[in-house]
Amino acid sequence: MSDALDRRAFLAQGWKVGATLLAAAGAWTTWDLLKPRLGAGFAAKVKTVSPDQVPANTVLEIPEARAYLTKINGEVVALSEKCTHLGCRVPFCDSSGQFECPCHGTVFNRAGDHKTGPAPRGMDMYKVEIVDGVIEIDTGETITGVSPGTETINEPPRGPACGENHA
Amino acid sequence: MNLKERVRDTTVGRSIFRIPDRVTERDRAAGHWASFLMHLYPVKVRRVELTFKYSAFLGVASLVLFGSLLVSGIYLMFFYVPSPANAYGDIQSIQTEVAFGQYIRNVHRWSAHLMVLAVAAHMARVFYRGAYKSPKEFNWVIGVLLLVVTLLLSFTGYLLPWDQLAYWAVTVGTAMAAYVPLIGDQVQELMLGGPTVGSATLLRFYVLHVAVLPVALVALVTAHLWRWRKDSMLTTDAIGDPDAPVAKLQPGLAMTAPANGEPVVVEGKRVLGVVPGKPAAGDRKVLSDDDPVMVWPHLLVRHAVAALAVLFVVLLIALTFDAPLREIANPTNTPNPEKAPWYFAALQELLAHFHPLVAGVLVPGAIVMGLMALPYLDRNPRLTPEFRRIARITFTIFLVIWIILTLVGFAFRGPSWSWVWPWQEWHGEL
Repeated sequence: MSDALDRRAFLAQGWKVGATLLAAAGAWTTWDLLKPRLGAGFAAKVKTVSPDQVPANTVLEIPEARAYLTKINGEVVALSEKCTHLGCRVPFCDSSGQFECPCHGTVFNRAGDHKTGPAPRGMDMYKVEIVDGVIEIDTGETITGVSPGTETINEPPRGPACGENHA
Repeated sequence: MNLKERVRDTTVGRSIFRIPDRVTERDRAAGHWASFLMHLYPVKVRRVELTFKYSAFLGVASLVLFGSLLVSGIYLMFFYVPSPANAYGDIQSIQTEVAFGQYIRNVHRWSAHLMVLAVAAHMARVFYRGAYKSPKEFNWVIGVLLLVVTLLLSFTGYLLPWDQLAYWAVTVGTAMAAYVPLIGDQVQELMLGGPTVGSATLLRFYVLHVAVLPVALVALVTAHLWRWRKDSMLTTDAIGDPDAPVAKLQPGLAMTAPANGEPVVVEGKRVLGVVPGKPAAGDRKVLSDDDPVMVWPHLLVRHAVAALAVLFVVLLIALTFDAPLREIANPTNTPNPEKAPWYFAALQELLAHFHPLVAGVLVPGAIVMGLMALPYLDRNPRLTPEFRRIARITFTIFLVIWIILTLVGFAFRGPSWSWVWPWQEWHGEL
């Protein structure tokens, strides 16, 4: 008898292969079953306001898009409210003119540039288009925020931070 | 013949109760084999295991708290629908309309917090006792897994009230998963069931909380107890110096008579055969810590008292303090400060200082892996504290750092994660 697989060895190994295949099929089924169906209700285009209504020294919140509109160097940008650190909603602090994350204290300037704190990059942005004189935010297309240290605008805090105010 | 005996003496009674009257030690041992629940216990343990100092009964406490969580959790399930439209209102009506609803919810909430504490303390106690050493290495690994499952159970339950506390703690907690290299985004999506915390997340966490994780916990606890029993019997059989023989034992070896037929030699004396000196029944024997004692009734009665004490504490806390319920979850407003559950406060504190890959993935991963590897890395067979200085000091340093980080994150952090003194401003959330 050579070393070739005989029937006995084949059967002895066969059930292990079968069990492995079954486990793989189970894992695949579980993954496919539980994988979220994206696009349902999200990634939509949100119609907002006309470009004239977007302020250049503060921000305008668009709750439906979970985004802020502001003008940077004359251009309209839409900043995602989601902190790039751990997904908290970042509010705009009127007294300092900056975004201050309540979760871990990351500060972004009005353009979404990372100033201080643990977030790995600036605020993410959404693509904006002006359709019939109205700004449309495309929440399906995220533009990754700028890396720390980048300065799109030079706006030092104009007053006390909201977090410090409170404490 | 009293009523109990008469019932046991009927045909039906005899078919149910197989445990003999526990008159002799042999009866008591037979009682162990005849009863399913008693079977979880060894017949004998070392005398030292009866003392509070040995274990502080923290394992029993963890198990009792899990029982309390199961019972109170089942009550709550009757009144709770896991959907964003219903969840918050259901919790409100549990607290206001359901008889004893608030109380049951309190029991559930405080038992959950206490169980995390008890499991962690149990682990620390086992470490200081050196009880993870041979032959118990793998049971320690199972214990670490039990700690992880306990934390996951607590964390998945955290979302269910669907209040602000829940929503944002889970947003942050699941966002950490996204920093796992390569598969992070998929893992996060799988947990959330969508791009943000929403109805799919609530349902997923609910299923994990009431079905998947409890079953996993029961399976692991079963293995944990079974191993404890086996290892405990191995230890009881290894009479003599607690430092030396146990570590050298091979599972199964000590259960049988010496293979080579030689009498057992303990501390230089032959145990079998004629021993010179006083007759065995002469002097009253001074019991040592390692002398075996019957589990029934000595250990059982202590466990029963410990269980009652734990239950008493839980019920008392639940009578005194109400479980918190903040305003309904609002995805457009992150509370300031936003705090993770206290057992993740140390991680949240680290997250404020380090890149999320480090603080959210590498550190917790290293802790869990390090704990599981501990019994295999620590090759020192000694159990006595004076021979384990380095191990004890290292563990204590890590433990103290972790406790400090937890305290800082829990009580010393205010709006925008700024430093506050807890006696001036309180921002802790339970």
